[in-house]
Amino acid sequence: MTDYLEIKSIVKSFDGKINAVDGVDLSIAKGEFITLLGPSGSGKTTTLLMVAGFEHPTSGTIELTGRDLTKIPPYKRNVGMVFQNYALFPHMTVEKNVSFPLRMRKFNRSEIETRVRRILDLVALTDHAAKYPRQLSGGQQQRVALARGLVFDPDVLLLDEPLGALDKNLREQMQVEIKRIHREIGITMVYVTHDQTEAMTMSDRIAVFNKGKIEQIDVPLKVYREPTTRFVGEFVGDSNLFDGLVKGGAVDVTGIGAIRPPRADPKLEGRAVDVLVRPEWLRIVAPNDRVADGELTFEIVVDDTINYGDSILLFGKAQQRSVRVRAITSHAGIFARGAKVRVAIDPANVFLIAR
Amino acid sequence: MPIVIIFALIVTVFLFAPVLIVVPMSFTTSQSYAFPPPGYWTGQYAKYFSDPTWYLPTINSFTIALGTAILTLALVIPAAYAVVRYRFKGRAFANMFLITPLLVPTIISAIAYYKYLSYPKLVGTHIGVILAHTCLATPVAMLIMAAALKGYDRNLERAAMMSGAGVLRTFFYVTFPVLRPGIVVAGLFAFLNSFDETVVSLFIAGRAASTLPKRMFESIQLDTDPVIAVVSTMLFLLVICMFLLQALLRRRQFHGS
Ligand SMILES: Nc1ncnc2c1ncn2[C@@H]1O[C@H](COP(=O)(O)OP(=O)(O)OP(=O)(O)O)[C@@H](O)[C@H]1O
Ligand SMILES: [Mg+2]
Repeated sequence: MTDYLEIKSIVKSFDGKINAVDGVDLSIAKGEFITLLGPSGSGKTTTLLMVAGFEHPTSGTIELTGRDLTKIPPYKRNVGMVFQNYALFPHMTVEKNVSFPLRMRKFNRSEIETRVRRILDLVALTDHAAKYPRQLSGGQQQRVALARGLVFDPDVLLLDEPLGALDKNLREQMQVEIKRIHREIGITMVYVTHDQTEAMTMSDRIAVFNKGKIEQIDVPLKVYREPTTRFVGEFVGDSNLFDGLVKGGAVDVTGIGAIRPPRADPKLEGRAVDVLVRPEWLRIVAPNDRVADGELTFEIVVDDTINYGDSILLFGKAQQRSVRVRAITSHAGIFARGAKVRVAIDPANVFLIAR
Repeated sequence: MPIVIIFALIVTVFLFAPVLIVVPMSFTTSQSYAFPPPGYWTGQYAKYFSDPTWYLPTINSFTIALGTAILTLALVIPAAYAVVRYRFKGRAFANMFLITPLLVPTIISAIAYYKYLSYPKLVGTHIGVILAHTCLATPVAMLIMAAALKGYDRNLERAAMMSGAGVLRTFFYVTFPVLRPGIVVAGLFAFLNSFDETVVSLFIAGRAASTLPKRMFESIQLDTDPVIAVVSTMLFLLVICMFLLQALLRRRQFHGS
C-alpha cells in the first residue's frame, strides 16, 4: 500500500488536560474510502479538522502526497470537506456555491464553466443551478456541498457525518450516490460516521475510534468478524460476549460449555478471554436436527422475541447469562416467553478477544 | 375583531397626536407656538434653510452620526468576534467592560467626557463628539453584533477556507454578506443614537460642533422660534422615509430570489 495521506501519532488537547485525540496513526492509500467510526466525542471530527487545517495538532504530523501539512493553512491545502450541516453559502446560488472554490483558486472562466457543468451533472443538480440553498431539500443541499467539495479536484475529500441530518430512505439513497461518485472519480475519501451500518456498507477500511484512540483499522468484514478489542466487538454490530478461559486449545465458556475454535491464537493459552458470538452465528436446533461434531449446544430460556419479518431476534438467558439469537425463520410464535430453545455454536463461528 | 382595530387606532392616535401637532405648527405665520396657527405659509422653512445657526448643526449632526456609525462598527465587529469566538483570559471581563457605558448615567458620562476630552483639546470638535457618541453606542451595538455572530455558523468560514479563500477573502465573500443584516442594524443603531443624543452634546459639542438636538434645546430655552417645528417635521419625514425604504428593501429581498 502506498501511503498517500499519512497521519502520524497526532494528539490534540483543547484544555491541556484531556486529549480529545490521543495519538492517532492512520495511513491511507490513494483512492481509498476510509471510515472513521466511533461513538460521540471519540475525536473523529477533531481528527478531520486537523487534516483540513482548522485545528492544529498539539503534537504529531500529517503528510499528504509526501508534503508535511502541519504548517500549511487550510486555504493552501488541497483538501475538500463536506460538513454535517451542509454549510452552504446562503447568499449564493447553487452555481455560485459550487464555483466558489474555483473562483477563489483563480481558474479561468471557461474552465470554471465546464467544471461546474460537469460536477452538477455528476450530482444531478443541473436543473437547480440557479436556486438558492434554502429552496432545496436536505438531500439536494447535501449534494451541493458534495459538489463544492469535489469541484476543485482536491487530493482528499473529508466528509463529517454528511448524512446525519437526513431520514433513513434518503440516507440509503445518498450512501449509494456517494459510493458511485467515489467509484467514478476515484478520489480518496475520509468519511466520519457513528452509524456502524453505514460504515460497513460503504468503506474499504474502517478505523474504529474510542476515547481519542483508534482501537482497530481493518476491512469491514474483519472488523465485524474479528474485532481486536471488546469495545469494537460491542460497538460494531450486535453481539454476545461471554467470559471464557482458554485451556489446551479449547475455550471454556463460563456457564455454557467448552468449544475448540479452529484458529485460536496460541498466545491466548491459559488466559481469560472475551468470547464473541454474533447473534446470527448461533443456530436454533429443532428436536430432531442433527448436531455436528465439535458444535457446542446449550439451552436458553426465551425472554422476548422481535419479529423483523425476514428474521427474528430472540432474547434469552442461559444460566443467568443474556444470549441473543438471530434466525431466519418465520415461526416466531413457538418461541413464547419462558419457552426452552436449544441452540448450537459452530466452532468456526467463535472469536476470542484477548483481555 | 373590529373592537381590536378601533382600539389599535385609538392607541395610534394617542401616540402620534403630539408628534403630528408639529406639522401644522411648522407652517405657522406666527412667531410663537400659538396653536392652532393663525395662518399658514412656508416662511419658516425658508428661514431654516437660510439660517446657518440652523443648517450648520444639521450638517454637524449627520457628519457626527455617520462618523459614530463607522467608528462603532470598526470597534464592535472585531470585539464581538473576539468575545464570541475565542476563549481567552479576561474574556468575561472584556464582555462586561464593553457594556459598562450602558450602566453609567448619561449626565455622569457627559461630565467625564468633558473633563477627559479637554486634555487633548477635543471639546467642541467633531472628533470629540464622535468619540463620546461611539462610547455611548458601543454597548448596544456590541450586543447586536454578538447576537448576530452567535447565530453565524462557523462551518461557513471553514467551507470558504477549504475553498481556497484566505482570511480576508473569507471575510469579504462570506462572513460580511452573511452578517450584513446584523451589521446594518448595529450601524443604524449607532447612527440614530448619535443623531438623537442631547445630554453629552450639550456638554462637549460647543459652538463649532453643535448638533441639531443641542440647537433645538437652546432654541426652546432662549426664544419661541417656530423653526423648531420645521426641524421636527423634517425629522419626522426622514424617519418615515427610512421606515418605508427598509420595508421596501426587505420585500425585495424576499421576492428577488
Ligand atoms: N473546540 C473545542 N473546544 C473544546 N473541546 C472540544 C472542542 N471540540 C471538540 N472538543 C472535545 O473533544 C472531544 C472530541 O470531540 P469530537 O467533536 O472530535 O468528537 P466526535 O467523535 O466528532 O463526536 P460526534 O460523533 O459527537 O461528532 C469531545 O470531548 C469534545 O467535547
Ligand atoms: Mg463530530
